[in-house]
Formats: sequence, structure tokens, C-alpha cells
Amino acid sequence: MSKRVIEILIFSLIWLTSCSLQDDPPEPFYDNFLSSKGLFVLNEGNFMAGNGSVSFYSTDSMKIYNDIFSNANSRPIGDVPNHMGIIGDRAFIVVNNSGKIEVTSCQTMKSIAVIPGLTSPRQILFINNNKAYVSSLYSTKIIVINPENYTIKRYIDIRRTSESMILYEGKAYISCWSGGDELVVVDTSSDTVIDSVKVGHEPESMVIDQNGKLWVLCSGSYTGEYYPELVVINTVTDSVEKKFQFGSKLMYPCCLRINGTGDTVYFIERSIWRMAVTSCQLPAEPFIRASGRNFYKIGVEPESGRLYATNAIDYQQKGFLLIFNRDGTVADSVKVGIIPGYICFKQ
Amino acid sequence: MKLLRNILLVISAVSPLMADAQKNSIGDTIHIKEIVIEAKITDGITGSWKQIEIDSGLLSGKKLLSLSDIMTESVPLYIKTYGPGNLSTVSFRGTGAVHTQVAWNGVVINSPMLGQIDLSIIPSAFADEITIDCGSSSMFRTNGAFGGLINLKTKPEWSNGLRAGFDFGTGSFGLWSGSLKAEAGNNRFQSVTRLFYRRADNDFRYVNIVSYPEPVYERRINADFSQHAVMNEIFFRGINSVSSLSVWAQAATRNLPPNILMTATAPGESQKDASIRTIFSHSKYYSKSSIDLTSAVIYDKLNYTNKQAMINSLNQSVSFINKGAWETRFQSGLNVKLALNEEFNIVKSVNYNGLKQRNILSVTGIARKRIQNGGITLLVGEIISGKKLLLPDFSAGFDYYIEGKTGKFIKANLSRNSRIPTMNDLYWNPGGNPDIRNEYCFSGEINGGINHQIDKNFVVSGEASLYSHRIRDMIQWLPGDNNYWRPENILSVNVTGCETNFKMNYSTENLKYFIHIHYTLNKSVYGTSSEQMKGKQLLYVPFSQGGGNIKVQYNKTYASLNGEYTGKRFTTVDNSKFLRGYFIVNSEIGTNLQFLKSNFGFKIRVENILNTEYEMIAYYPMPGRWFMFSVNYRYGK
Repeated sequence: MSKRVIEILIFSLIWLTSCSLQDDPPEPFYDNFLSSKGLFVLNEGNFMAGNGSVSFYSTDSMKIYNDIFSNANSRPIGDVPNHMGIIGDRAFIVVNNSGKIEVTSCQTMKSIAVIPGLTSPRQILFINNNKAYVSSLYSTKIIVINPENYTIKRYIDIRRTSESMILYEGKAYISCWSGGDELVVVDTSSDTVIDSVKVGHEPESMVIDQNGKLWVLCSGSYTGEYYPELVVINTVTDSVEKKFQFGSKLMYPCCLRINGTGDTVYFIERSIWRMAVTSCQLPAEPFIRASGRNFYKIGVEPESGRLYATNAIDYQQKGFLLIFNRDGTVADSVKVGIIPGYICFKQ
Repeated sequence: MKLLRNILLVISAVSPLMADAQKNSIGDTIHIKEIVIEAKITDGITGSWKQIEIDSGLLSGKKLLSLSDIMTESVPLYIKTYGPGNLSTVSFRGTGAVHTQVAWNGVVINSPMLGQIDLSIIPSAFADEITIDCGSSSMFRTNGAFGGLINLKTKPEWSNGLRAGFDFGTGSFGLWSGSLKAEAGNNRFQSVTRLFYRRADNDFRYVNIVSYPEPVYERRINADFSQHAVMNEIFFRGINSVSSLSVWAQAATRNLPPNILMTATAPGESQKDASIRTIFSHSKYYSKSSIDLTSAVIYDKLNYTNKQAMINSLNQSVSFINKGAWETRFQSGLNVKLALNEEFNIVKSVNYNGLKQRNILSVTGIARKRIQNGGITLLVGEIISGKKLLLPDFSAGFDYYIEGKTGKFIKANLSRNSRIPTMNDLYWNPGGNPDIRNEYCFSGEINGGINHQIDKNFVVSGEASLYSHRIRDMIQWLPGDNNYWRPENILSVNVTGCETNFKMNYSTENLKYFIHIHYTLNKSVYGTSSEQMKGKQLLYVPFSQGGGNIKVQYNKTYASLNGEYTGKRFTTVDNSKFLRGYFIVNSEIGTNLQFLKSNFGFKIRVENILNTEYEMIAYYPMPGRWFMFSVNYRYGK
């Protein structure tokens, strides 16, 4: 009887080991494509899921290359890549929920360095070759890093959390987005706060137009308590010059961008809207209707003025990068990663 | 000396198996009397449905573990956990966490807000028996548990005198755990008190595979937890009646570890859970009928805090549940049961716009006609949620025992089941959707099995089940107007699966062998129109899962080996990314000593012997090899 027991035992073990533990083969890595002109798309991935990625769209070949960071480095980019800045030949990718900046080569995507231990970093702004500001969703301090040696130099206490940043005439304008309604003005030579400007509720994104005016898109509030506003700031006096109020508190515009000549701004409010900087009112009709698409971020190529937008679909599936013709018709559409977000142009 | 000889004998008996297990990345664990899964063949009203029972004897050696630990080892469920002591939810038969419910003596204790329950904070010591109602078998107790229902049962021993026992254990990563059970009374009255405590630092070492410039060993941070629980029950037995009053209070404090992608210091996430559950029940038995009445009040509190993000989310709910059932038996072999269930939920949450409440009433009628070697059963249920009358549910089944009640059998059933939305689906602010409809599921199942006694020492049994679920109007949260996420009835999911298990029990006067093997396949796919999702496996639902247990016992000394395989689990809806499958081997060796009315036990448990690196949720590492030593003492019969 014991022999039968052993036979059954051996049979059972063989049966269990027959279960496969093999992985699927990894996607092949494509060489040399990063030497072409194009744009990076940061696919945020789902919060806490670590499925963010980086895609590159070559405007020369009109091809998309996905998962380029993980293919180059055999590890994931991290949790929620949110923003990217390029200085020289290096890309600084701000990975929000991983609390780090990944520094990579623009030509190979190979890691050069990691700046870890940052509190919920959001965006990066290069002041010069050895100074950059990093905003933070949860910290009231701007992190000042040295892009040359990848160290934290100091912190600037702005007493508010921060989101988007823009550099103009030696001043950094920093928006206080999450629950805020102000811009903080920092003198970049001394790294000190010199002024603040009250704008609309939740200033989310900013651009500088051809006249040196600062355009600030204030999203309102997701609870519908405040009207969204588009605010124009005089950068000489740092005061509000014009305000355009949106028609409903239930609107939530975001992602203000400007073309290379600085005469037209674009933003998302379900659809994509376009407005001349000389206009006296908000546009009545969208430039590109959403038509079932979930526009998440847009980008305008500085040289050609070509508009790009990402469609996040349902935030679960892989999204699409849409390339538009000048008349707003779709020229091309390519699949990227989950929640395709920030678009960074590589010149 | 004799004890030492016994231990050596058992070790030598199992050591070749352990060596083989290491070589093949395979193994097994478990205590025969603690983990055996019994598919009971019953002529009761649920005879046409599959139930799995883990009885009191099987649970007695697992008093220091949580329900999630027990389930992982013994039942074809997939437990999804962020780590030891952290949030653990269950996927059963390819369905989601909200489709498996947990009941305490028949009263569902899932959160009315989330619709699910955290198995990691339910002590196994607080159940004398665990029954798993597979698939539509759950419809006899509740609605909406498409995957199944785990019922924790407590029951008194009607004997005179005092009985008491405790278990105490300590292990790796700062683990300390203790449980105590004291019973006193006579054949008319019993009082049962249970206490449970568990804590751990959980600072285990793991390889951070995503660190730059190369993978490094790190220790888990911010993962400590502690848990306290107490349960007191009193039972009264009349000539034809039993009454009971049970109170279960528990609290857990946990720090929530970040995923390994986070390079900043832990954001200070923590969670405090507290529950107070009270059940009063009264059962009256007549010659051919019975009446059961149950009233329960369940209070749950969950406080999530994130210091970095300045979040302090306090959520409280109270549920008042009243149940009544009348069952009668006619001479023609017809059993009829009528059941009424009323549940009133009140929720106060910082995430709701004011206090929210709802009332759910359900009525169920069941008729079973016994036929020569089996029976046919029909169940019809109706739910009234608020003022909405839902489409009626039903389940119809038959069972047939080919060679009497200990031989071969076949069962089949066909059902329609509904799940009403959770309170969060309805009232979460922003995004809650008061107009959301209930999910519903058509399911079919067929089971066949054999229970064969080869000779007086050798028994084998096996069972195979094939099932299919078609879940429609499944609720999924999607981005809606104004960027709010909002639940919608858009998903459909199709599940086709099979469960198999095989058991062998061989015993002589002093020596016992036990083997149990189970294997489950679940093809659980999206049925949406999206090209990326259509036909793809659901997130975190493994296609294949299996395991086995071997136990050898010589007199009072035993050794056991348990191995559990979990196949790859997809982490993106297009199935382009996944977690690798893994195989975990656990082992235990122990002995018991008897002195008069006292019984002492000692055991050493080794978890994850092969030191397998694995994750149950992406970027949340699980511990490698670790140890636990425990002692127990029992006084009384």
C-alpha cells in the first residue's frame, strides 16, 4: 500500500510541475530612432500600479516607439511620470509618485542618474545649466537641484504647494494649483520669493505670449464651487491685466499651451479650444470636438505649430497620441501607453 | 527519548519529499486535521450545490493565523494582498473582490461602503467551522456573491465544566501572536470567550529590482501592524430551541507600506479599522419544521490617513440586519423554506455629502423534492432596494448519488443572481451615481465526484466542477463629466472555469498519511467592445492555480508540507504586463503531549522554504523564508 502512496505522490508532483512559469518574450528594442526629431510622451500609468512608461514619436519617420525607458534600462520608469525637461543631451523625467527624477540620455534613453527622495515632485524648470526648480504637490517648498551633479542644492519655502512653473526675464512664476489661487514670483538669481499674484482658483498651467504677457489657466474646482478663469498677467508689474471667466462652474479646463510664434493659445475643456492672444473673449466653438475621445494633454510643436493631443480613453486601456492637421482633422493616430500625458518636444 | 525517536522518524519519512520539492520548485504543506477540505454530501436543502467545509478539527491548529492565511493555503481562492497584515481581498471563481462575501453565522459582514472585506484582519480563531458556498450556492444566504460566500460558524459544545486553551506564537520580523478560548457551562447553557492578539514589524528583506543603478537588498518599511479582537458568546438550549447572543469587537492599526517604486521616505500612510458586531439568534424546532430568527447590528469604522497628502478620511457605517426563515418537511419528500432578510445601512463619511442610508429587503422561497438517490431544488428570490423592485433571481439544481451517499455523485445547477451597487457606487462625492443599476449574472455549474473506500485503512475521494458565469451590467468606475470618476454599468465579464481536487487518506494504528491536491483554471475575460480588452483576462485573476498538501503523522507527532502554485496575473487590461507565476512551499512539524485533562502542543512552521521572490500586487514584495514557533495548551475534554 505504501508503494501506491508514493506512486500517487510522484504523479501529483509531476502534474503540478507541468504548470508553466515562463514569461512572454520582451518587446524588441529599436536602435537609433532617438537620433531623429520627434516628441516624447509620458504615459502616467495608473496611480500606485507602476505601469507608467515613455513613448517616442519620430516626426521624421512618423513611427511610434513605446516603453523606451524600460527597454533601455530593464526596469520600469516608476509610478506616474508626470513631466519632462530637456537640457543639452539629457532628459530629466519627473516621476511624481516615485518621488524622483530620472536623468537619461536623449539619444539612448539610458539612465545617467537618479535624484531620489523628493516629496511628490510635479514639474521641472531649468533656470540655467547648474540650477533647476522642481515643484511639489504636497510640499510647500520648491526643490532647487543642480542638473550638473544631480544633487539637491537648497529649498525655497513658498508656503504653498506648487505645480506649473515658467521662467521669464529672470523671474520664475510658480502656480499654486492644488486648492490654491495664487502665483508666486521668485527671483531666480537669489532664489527668494519677491511677490505673489492672486488669480483664479487652481491655476493649473501657464504660457508666455508674443507680447511677454503671462497667461494662466485656472481650472476652478472639481467640486464645482468656483468658475474657471483664463487670466492674463502683466509681467512688468506682476498684476492681473485681463480675466476671461468660463460659463459654468462645472467646467474644468486644463493644459494651456501656446504655439511657437506666441500668438495662439490652446487648452482642453472636454474638446480642444483655440484662442488668439488678441481675442477679447473666450472662443464660442471648440477647435476640435471631443466626439467621444477623452483628451488628456496637448502639445504644440514650436517650429511647425502642429497640434498633438493624447486620448486617455478610460484610463485603463492604452491611450493614443493624435496628430492633427492645421484644420483640426486627424493626420495620424498611434497607440502609446496607459494615460498618455505630458508631451515633450525633442528638437 | 521516545519523542525524539518519533520526530526523527517523521523527518526521515518526509525528507526525500522535501528534497524533491526543492529540486523541482514544488512542495506542499498543511495539517491534515487542520486543513482538509471536505465537500460534504448532504441531503439538505442545498444538496444540489457545491459547498466546501473546513471543519473545527481542521482549524484548531491555525488559531494564530488570519482568514486570509487559511484561505491561501487550503481553498482554490486567489487572495490579493499588499503584504502580511495588509489589505487582503479575495477572487473566487474568476470574479472580483466584491463578488465574494464573508458571513459570520450567516450574517454578511462585508462593508456596505466597499462591498468587500479585508480578510487579513479576521482571526481564524474566531471560527469553529468555515463553510464555503461555491458560486450560486451563496444564494441560500445572500445575493450578489457570484463567486461564492465564506461563512464563519461558531458553535458551542454542550458539555459540563470548564474548557480552556491558548495558543502563543512568535516568529520572524517581530511577529507575536496569541489566542485564547475559554468555554464554561452545562448542557443547557454555554459561555464561550475568545481573545486574539497579533502584531508584527514586517521589516523583511527583499530585493528591490527597480532600484538604480542595480537591484539591491532593502528592508520593508512602514509595514508594521497590530490587531486585537475579542468575542463573547452565550448560548441557551431549551427542549426544542437554541438561542444565542454573540458580540465580536476588534481593532487593527496598520501602517501602509509604499510600493518599491517610491524613492522618497514613506508618506506616512496608515489605517485604523474597528468593528463591533452583535448577533442575536433564536431557533425553534418542531417535529417537521423549524423557525430561525436572527437580528444583527454591525458597526464598522475605517480611518485612513496620509500625513504627506494631509488626508484624514473617516468612514463609519452601521448595518441593522433582520433575518427570518421557516422550513418545513412534508411526507412526500418535499422540503420548503421561506426566508426574509432585511438590511438597513447608515453611512457617515467625509467622502459622502451628509449621512446616507438605504434599506434592502429580500424574500427567498426554496422547494426541494427528494427523489430516490438525490433531489431537485428550485430557489426564487426577490430584492427590493429602496423603492426599486428588481427582476427576480432564481436557481434550479439537481443532484444524484449513483451508489448511495458515500459513492459517486453528480450535481448541476443553473442560476440568475443579482448584486446591488455598494453605497460608494451610489453616494461617493464626487462621482457617486444614484441611478446605477444592479449587476446580474447567469451561471451554470456541474459537479461530479467520487468517495471511495478502498479498504478499511485507505480512502480516496475526488471532485471536479465545471462552471460558467456571464456577468452583465458590471459596475466600473470611469472618468465622467468634470473629470469626476463615476461608476457605470458598462462591463461584461465571461468566466469559464473548472476546479478539481483529489484526496487520499491512508492510516494504520500509529501511522497516517494524507495527501490533498487541488487545481483550478479560470478563464475570466472582458466581454466589452473595446479591441484592447475584449477576450483579455481580468486584472489579477490567475488563469491557473493549484496546490497540494502532504502530511505524515506518527502517533502524536506530525510533519507536513504544503505547496501552492499561482499562475501569471495580468496587471494591465490589454494583458501586455503581468506578474510571473510563483510557487510557495511551506512546512510544519509538531507534536502533542497529553497529561490527564491537559494537552500541550509545540510546532515549528517554515513559510516559503524555497525563499521564492514573488509579488501578489505589482511592486509590493512578499517575504522570503521565515519561521514561526508556537505552543498551545488545552484544558478539558
